[in-house]
Amino acid sequence: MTDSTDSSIDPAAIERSRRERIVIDASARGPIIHWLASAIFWLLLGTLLALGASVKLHDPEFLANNPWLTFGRVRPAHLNTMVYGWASGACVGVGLWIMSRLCRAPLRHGWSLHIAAVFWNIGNAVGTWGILSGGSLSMEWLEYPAGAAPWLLAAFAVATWQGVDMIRRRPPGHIYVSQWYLFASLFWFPMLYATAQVLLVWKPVAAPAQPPINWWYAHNVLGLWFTPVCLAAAYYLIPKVIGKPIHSYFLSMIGFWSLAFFYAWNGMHHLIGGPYPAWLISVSVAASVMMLVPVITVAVNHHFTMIGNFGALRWSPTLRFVVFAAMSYTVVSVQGSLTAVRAVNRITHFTHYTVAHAHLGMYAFVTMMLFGAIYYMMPRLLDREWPSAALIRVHFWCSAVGVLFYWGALSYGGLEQGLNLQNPDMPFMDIIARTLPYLRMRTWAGVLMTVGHLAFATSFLLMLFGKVRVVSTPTLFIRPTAKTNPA
Amino acid sequence: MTLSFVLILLILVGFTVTTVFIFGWAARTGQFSDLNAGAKTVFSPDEPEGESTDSFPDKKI
Repeated sequence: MTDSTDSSIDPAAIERSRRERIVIDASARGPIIHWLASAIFWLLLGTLLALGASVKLHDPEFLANNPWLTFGRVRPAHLNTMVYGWASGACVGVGLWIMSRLCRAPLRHGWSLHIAAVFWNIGNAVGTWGILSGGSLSMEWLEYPAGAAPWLLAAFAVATWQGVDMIRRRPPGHIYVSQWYLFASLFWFPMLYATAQVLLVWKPVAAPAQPPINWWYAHNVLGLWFTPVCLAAAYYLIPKVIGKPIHSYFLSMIGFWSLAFFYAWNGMHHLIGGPYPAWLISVSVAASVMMLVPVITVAVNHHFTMIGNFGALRWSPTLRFVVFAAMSYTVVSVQGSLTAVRAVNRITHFTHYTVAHAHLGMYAFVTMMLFGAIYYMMPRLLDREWPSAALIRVHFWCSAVGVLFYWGALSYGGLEQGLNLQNPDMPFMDIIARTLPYLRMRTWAGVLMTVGHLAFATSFLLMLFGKVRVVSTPTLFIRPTAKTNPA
Repeated sequence: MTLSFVLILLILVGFTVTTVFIFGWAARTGQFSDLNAGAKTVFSPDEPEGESTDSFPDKKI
């Protein structure tokens, strides 16, 4: 409507571009949906494990008689199924689809991604079974027993190769910021995971050097794998939904390169107070504070892009999830930089505050972004619409309210716990007892999020297997009007 | 054990050095020369700037 380029007026060019897009989406359909459907299976399993772990913290007797379901197994099983099964699986699906769209390159050799998805699922099954049967490696974010990693790495090698194949076939010229993020993350994840596996599992380094590598991995997998894929999704979806380029492309470049240059130095701030060389921890504290640069550039950019289009949040399911996630990214990152500062860390370390922070990152940011992206992708991949706006609405509100309630309750409870722990006159058991109300609130928040996930899975299954509903209008929350959709 | 910590430092430096090389390639090949045009590469003739795409996709060919 505005700013139309010459080619957009040429009907032949429009038709060519439309056909090209349809071919790309058709090529991605089978393999990408295989990855997404698998991811949603792990999301549901991870949710069940999460609820169990949460209840056990305030009702230790719950399912305590079965060794497979004790807290020490259920909790890492929850974390790993969510991190690898759900979030990483969905990131591969979302990332490769956006890559194929931006490279204008149909996905080739889809069978390889089908096999990779099977491998990915086997790796997660082996890992989850291993943890629940008592074989956890007891290293944060790396609890899957050694047998899982080769499957996961082999599967991921296919995803990386697919990304490279698309980048090689891109039209000459500019590489969009989302392509930078995606391309880099397809290398960063296997590099991080392989390094951690080699140095901690296959040929372990000296024991005192293991925690820094463990935390370097656990923190960087967030910053160099989930964050880039999710920011790539935001940089693609926000302009596509509102029809407006990002506010400042220059800022987006600063954001990407400052993340690429400095993020890998993060991680060891998790060991503040531990018996480590001061330089090792200080380097990470400095790098964490420096992360304010990419975060502020992304926050400013997304906010200014959205200005004038916030009305679209009323009707677009995709945008609502994506903007919620983008805002959470700002909050969780600023919170993270502050938490890495020694004075703050002294209070918050080893309390529920850290758990709340982790969920703000992995859920309010990463998971909500992936939900938003899947709401955008599925109608394009399947050529049919979401079955019900009401189900999407239930999903959004349960997930959004759930995670905010979760974060609020545990952050407050955690701070109180941390301050109490500084008080030598307060008995330890009193401090623990005082956290109980917050732990119960967490379970209720978890119930809300579970309802959201069930609504999402129902939508997804109805869309895949339900009666085909041929419609010519999108499934939106309300009908957009000139007032709510100025574009 | 000192060797292990040196290894950690080498990994960190390795990540940054790789990034420096790729940044150099991006600068040499003109990735930063026309940023405004770059921002518009998400749009295409059938999904142009100024149009919301959150809608039901077109029918198949």
